[in-house]
Amino acid sequence: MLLGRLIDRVHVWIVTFDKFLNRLIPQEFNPFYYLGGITNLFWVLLIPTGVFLWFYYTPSPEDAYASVQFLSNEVPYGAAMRAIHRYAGDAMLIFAVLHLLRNYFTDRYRRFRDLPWLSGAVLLLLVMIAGMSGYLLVWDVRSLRIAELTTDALLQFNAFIPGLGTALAGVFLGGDQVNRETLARFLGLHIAGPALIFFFLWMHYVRLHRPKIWPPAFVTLLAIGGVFVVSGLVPVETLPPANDPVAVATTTTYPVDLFFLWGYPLMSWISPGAVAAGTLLLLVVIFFAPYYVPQKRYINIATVVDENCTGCRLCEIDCPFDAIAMVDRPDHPRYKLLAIVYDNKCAECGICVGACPFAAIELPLLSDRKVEEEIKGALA
Amino acid sequence: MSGEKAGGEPRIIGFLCEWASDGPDVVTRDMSLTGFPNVKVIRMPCSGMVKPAWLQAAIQGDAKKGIEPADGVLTLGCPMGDCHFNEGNFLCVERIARLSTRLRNRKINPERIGQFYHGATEGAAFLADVGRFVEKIRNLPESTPAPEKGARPAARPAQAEGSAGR
Repeated sequence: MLLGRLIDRVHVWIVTFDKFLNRLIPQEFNPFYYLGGITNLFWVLLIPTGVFLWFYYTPSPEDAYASVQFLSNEVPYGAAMRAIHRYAGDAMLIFAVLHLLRNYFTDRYRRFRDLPWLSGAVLLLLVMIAGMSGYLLVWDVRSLRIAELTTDALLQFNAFIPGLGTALAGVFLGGDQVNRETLARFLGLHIAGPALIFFFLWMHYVRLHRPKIWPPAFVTLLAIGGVFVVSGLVPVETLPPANDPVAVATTTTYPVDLFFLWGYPLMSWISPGAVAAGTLLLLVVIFFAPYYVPQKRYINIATVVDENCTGCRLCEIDCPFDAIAMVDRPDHPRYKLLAIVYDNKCAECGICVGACPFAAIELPLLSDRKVEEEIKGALA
Repeated sequence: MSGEKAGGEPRIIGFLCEWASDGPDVVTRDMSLTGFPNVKVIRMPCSGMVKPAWLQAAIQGDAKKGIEPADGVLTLGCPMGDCHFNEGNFLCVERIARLSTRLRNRKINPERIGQFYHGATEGAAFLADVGRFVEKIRNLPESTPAPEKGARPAARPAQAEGSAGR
């Protein structure tokens, strides 16, 4: 109940904020209606910059740091590409989390939206993995510290299943300690993980007829321009290499990216095991979020009145959730197509009812006859 | 129509999206709007469910179904871009635009249809807009609907829009 009150409260704040923003800028440019599209925009910005960086990167403990420094100092636009890649990654995570929060608090995650929610949770996990492994690739003192702490956290899994943690750490490092395989592993993690994003994005969109994949041009320019400006103003920092034992011993503080690396300061303060357990718990909570509240589903599924359907496709075109399909109708003398409803995709919203000029599709609890009765009653 | 209207408030039917502002502060228990006893309310899961045929039947009246003509209809949806079902309010706007063309052909003033888009917390703004709408309807000249031609169905899907739409 407390959670329900909180959700209502935040929903009111979101709507009030939208209203305020809509007064400042035209409603169709409100970036908060396009959080997912903006996230996708940054993802697309990350791909070409990432490929550019990949051309110059050498995945070995000896040469990785030198190749990154060469890229930053000698290659034309190398430093800019590196900065854009980093800040676009940060921006992608920020907007992904905003997208998640907005959809949670405006109740757009349950019922017919469980698949988008679950695939979105996996996408968030993949973005986190990609961002954290990106910081490993530079192979400076910070990368070494992150690798140590991650190995520690993975070893904690030995407490649940003996040997599991050791195995995971072995997979992570490509051996029982850092060796010449390790950086290739990290590069694989950084590229193969995000490659999976394409699959889960497909899952994220598959239930929608017209997903808002791109923000409007104004918001696109603002978002890309913002990343470019930040990249120009705040160049990526240079830390001492991990191969230099003196530097590793003397460098105790270094900047931490709070968006991707928030877990590592926590690990130093609390313990790697607690952070690993907390993250797992958070993931479980997110994954089961659509199912905490009992769902009233499959009670008001749109129903086709077969004898009225002319096969005009208007409901199929207008359905936002792709829940209507047209099938052949060989037995009818005049009409060749018949609409059918996939009940597991139907959102029970009635948009198909508004589309149909022939009273051939209706919601069982609010049929055309009932609405007409209500109109009649209201005017009597 | 004129006889009933004389002296009384204009009779209006509202189709309200249940995700927009239709809370207890807006809709009274006898399904009319707070402060507007003559604005009767029908709840919809989404403004995208509102059928142009219903709006037309309510404005024009439908002798066969025993529906008397109302003085106006209004629809309420969520703000553009924030529809709970992604597109319902955009579709509602498109459909009402087509319906307006059809009504104009029948010499019915499409100003009698009101469209409002307010989020869940904007009940006061919505009621203020309804007040202005009622005032407008009251001042509209009487519409003289053309006689029904033959057994034409109440709503033809895309005929009127082809000539005037784009």
